[in-house]
Amino acid sequence: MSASGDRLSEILNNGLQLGSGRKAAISGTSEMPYRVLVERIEQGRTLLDQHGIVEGDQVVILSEKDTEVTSLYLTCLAHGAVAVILDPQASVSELLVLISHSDPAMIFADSEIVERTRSLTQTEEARVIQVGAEAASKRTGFGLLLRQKAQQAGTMYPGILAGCGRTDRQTTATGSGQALILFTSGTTSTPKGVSISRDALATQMELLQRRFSVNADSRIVNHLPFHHSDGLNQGPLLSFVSGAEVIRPEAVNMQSVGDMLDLVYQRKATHLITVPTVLSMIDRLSSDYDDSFSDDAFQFIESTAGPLEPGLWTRIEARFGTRVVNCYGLTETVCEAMYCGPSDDSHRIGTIGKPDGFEVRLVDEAGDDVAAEEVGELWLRGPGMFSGYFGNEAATAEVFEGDWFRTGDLATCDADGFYRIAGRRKNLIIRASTNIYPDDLKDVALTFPAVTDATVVGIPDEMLGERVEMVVTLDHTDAAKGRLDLFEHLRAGLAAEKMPNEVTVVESLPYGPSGKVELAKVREMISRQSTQGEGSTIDDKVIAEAAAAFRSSAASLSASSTEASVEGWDSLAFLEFVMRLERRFDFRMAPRDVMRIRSVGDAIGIVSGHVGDRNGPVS
Amino acid sequence: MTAETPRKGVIVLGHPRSGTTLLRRLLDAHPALAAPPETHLFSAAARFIKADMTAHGVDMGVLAGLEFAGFSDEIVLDRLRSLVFSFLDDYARAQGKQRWVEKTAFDIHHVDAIQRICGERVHYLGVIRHPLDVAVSCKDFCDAAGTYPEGLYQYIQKYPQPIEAFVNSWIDTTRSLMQLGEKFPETCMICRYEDLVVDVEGVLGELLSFIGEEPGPTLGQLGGTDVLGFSDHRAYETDQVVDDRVSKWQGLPGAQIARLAPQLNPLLEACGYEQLDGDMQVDASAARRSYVLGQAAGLSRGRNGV
Repeated sequence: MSASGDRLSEILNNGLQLGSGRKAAISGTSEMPYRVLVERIEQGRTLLDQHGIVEGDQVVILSEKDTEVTSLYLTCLAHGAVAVILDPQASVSELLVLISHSDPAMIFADSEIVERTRSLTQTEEARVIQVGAEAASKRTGFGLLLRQKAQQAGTMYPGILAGCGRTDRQTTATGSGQALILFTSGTTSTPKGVSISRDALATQMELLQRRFSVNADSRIVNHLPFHHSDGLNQGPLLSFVSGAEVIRPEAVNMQSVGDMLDLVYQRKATHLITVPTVLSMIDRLSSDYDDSFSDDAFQFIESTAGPLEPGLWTRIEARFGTRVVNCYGLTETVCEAMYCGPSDDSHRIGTIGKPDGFEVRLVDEAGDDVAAEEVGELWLRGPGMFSGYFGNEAATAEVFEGDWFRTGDLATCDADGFYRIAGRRKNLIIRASTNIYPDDLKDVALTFPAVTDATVVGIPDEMLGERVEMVVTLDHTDAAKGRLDLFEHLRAGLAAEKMPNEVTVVESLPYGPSGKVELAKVREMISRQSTQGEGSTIDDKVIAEAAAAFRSSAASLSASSTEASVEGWDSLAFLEFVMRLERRFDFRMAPRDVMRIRSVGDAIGIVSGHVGDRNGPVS
Repeated sequence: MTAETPRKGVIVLGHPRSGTTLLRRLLDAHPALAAPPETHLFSAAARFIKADMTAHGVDMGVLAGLEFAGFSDEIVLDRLRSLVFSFLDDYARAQGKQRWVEKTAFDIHHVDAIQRICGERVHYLGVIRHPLDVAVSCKDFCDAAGTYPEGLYQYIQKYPQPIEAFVNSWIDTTRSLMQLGEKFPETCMICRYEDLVVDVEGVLGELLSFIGEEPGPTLGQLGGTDVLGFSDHRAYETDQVVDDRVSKWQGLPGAQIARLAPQLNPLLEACGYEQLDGDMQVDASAARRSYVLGQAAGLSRGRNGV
């Protein structure tokens, strides 16, 4: 068996060797021994062969299951196919647009998603293989566990692999040169799918291993979703090529963030890859968690995918006695392009550090380099750069100046070479480290019949980084009803992570002389029309805040309302609820109180305990 | 597992050569479970309470004797259980684990006594394997060992053909296991060897979940390589789960399979196996020719010293 292939093939083959002594490739909420992962990759290549998938073909992967996304992604890379990883929580309309735009030769999707997008699977020409467990085992009357179809290949992934022989050839792909497509926006007909080459991916994997000292002894806790590059590539791929183990905690929210730190401690993790919003949650935890990073094996926390507020950064480092490495990167740079740490010479709080693997320019509007310490748009160039937006030449041309990528972010560089983000030129909101393009939300809002105009702005927020506020005009005067109906409409058309925190109804939007909406004035309108809930008693006030946070009507809520009974009660909305209560009642909720809120009634109890007079007037 | 009735113990049951050692080792690799080598504790306890009837129907066993002395069966069983559990508890503690798993090859022949002693205070995990594979494997084992272990000897006395003897042993023990499962649906789960070796993570995950344990990072690994038990030398030698010991029985003579079919088919169906062909035509002259050729080949090997 001889092997010659591109650099990515080389490091994947190396990963196969490194893994031979490893037990778990992925652990935490879902476990997959390395032996199973390798078997799945080898059988998966046979499956792709059987379906005529060749190098350069697009294969869509759409699953909530970490182990399945991991094995399918690595199978595609080993085979030379282009993996298209989509957000499994995207709305049906988003999925239809994204899948159609991806032009896939094959689709792997969770059975629940296939069910949800029935029209897609009936019309899409690509072969669809459902991801999930075969029919559950049956227990007979005397307790015998009868596995259905034992020893037979199933029809769903991964059961279907039982009918596939193992492809024992090494990875030799060179293919089209593309490896991965991740979408950064796309509720409209022109989605932006970031197309990443095999070489760029290999470059970034080599860089991360060197920069972060990741090797076969590393245990990386990474909670970021796999449809985000930092979850996927700093998760299973980095783990596979370096021999490290990736540990996946439960979905992180205020109630579970402590469990994640327990996992860091118990599993003797070496790295935690997280985002500023989660650091903000960690900052609120009680002192019980102070020793979470005290094990000698632990190296540092990586904060990525959003601006890290210097005060929070300083508090986390001081309290936990560990370094926080703040990184700057975009999906377009695969992973990171700038690193503030871990070495002392590249660590300066408040900055994004220095570039590694990329060249940097700060450029003014005329395209000239700015003087030292002056603000300019951050341009990047390097072998880790993406190739372009898939099937969207106009969008690609817009962001490239020669081989320089215009990030849309504004930055300065000090005399010591440290870069600092100073603002944003592009129209983008980063909430809880998720990039949200206002136009995506606006497009969906404008498809609601009653909406006559809409705009979306980001408002700075202590915990989320930015809040997403939508401002609309309606063709009727019942603003309250229109707002709730619009929320319903948005829920159907947008992924949960894109939903606005608030919708404000105004009479008209402020347009400037150029015909564009004046965003500064919109922000003023929002602050004037603060949607603080109504109510005279504490119960009523808390319910009103819950209604605003969960985008429900107050009449539909009561003290017994819980996550299970309120459709809009997700982790972000829950955070919003807590922050609303803190603002309204002017207190900071203790971490243990936040964690014990399971119903609106729990929140009423906590607020009452703080305010004292349960049903009395509150100033 | 409720707080009121914590079940620390797990007893693995199955006919010898059914994969009980494999399951024991898989469980032993779990961070919460400690499986000692075969202790024979339960078979000894079963013998302790065995009734010994006279021709007149008088029980001369220990339970009857102690009853005369004022000790109820309940008290005796309680003390006996405490004694047995104490060794296993200590073993688990010494391994730094919370729970124990006991598996001794011939416990399956004492199911009635074991359930009488333990009731629903433990979990029972059963393993069933295709009876003809069990019979072939038992024959191989007994040939190699040069003996018939006690549990199997009674069947050899009754049935002159070893395969038939072991099949009948399988029928009896499988019925016992099924009765246990019917009686204790909350605490007894049974799996098939064939499913376990094909999908070790899936089946083991369900078994672990049934006994209240999370599948850990060691799911599918084998523990206990340093300890030899009474039997199952093959499973002790290996460090991975293999599925190449399934359907070995298909090399058995068709006539023998056809003879066993009426007895086995109802149980095979209940256990999810395909039924045997009971109408297999036997060509007597072909069988005789095959026998003679076999003799000739044997003689030839002997002469050449192979």
